[in-house]
Amino acid sequence: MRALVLTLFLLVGCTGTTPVQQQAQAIDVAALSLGVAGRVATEASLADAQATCPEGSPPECVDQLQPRWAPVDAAFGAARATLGAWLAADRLASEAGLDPLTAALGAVASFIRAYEELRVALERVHIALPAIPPGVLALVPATSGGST
Amino acid sequence: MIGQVVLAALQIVAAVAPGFLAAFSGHKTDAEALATAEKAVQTVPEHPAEDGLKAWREHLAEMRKP
Repeated sequence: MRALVLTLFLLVGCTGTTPVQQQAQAIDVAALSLGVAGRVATEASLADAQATCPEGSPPECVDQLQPRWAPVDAAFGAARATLGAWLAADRLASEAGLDPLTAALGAVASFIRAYEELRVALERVHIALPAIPPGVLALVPATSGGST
Repeated sequence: MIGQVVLAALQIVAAVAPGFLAAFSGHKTDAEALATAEKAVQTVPEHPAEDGLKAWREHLAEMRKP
């Protein structure tokens, strides 16, 4: 159900009074979700470091965990970038009088791909994000084959 | 570990819910909505996992100081 709600917000937008506002609110919701997921990732990596390198360990001990967590940060960076592109497309549509949904379609597709890659990266470190339904993923170019 | 996963999922839902409510509050102008979205995007961390590792690395280094 959560995945369905998220998807509807991403694809249809929210309840803004204009199409630009609808897209902006969808970006807002998506960013808030990623922000919370980021805080969970920070807590989880900290807990991992505490368990692996207890008090008294040399600081360098933590370095061994970087390969495990680097993909998570890479996925966050990518997702954040696609949100920025989505926002830029919405702003451009607002300034140029274009249809925001049409202008943002590419960015929305990129965000959905990045979100799915982030979900998979977080899953590998035992953090759950709501999944986007496979049927929706199949509609996004270059994701229908899966990317696990 | 399962407990951690469930906790994480609950944290996400709990924290996102206010965002959904805020989204329904409406904006007066497109510029206002875009500004709000931009602020939200800026809160997405770029290196959240490294932040956690760095915090513990710094803690361990601090503990080793004479």
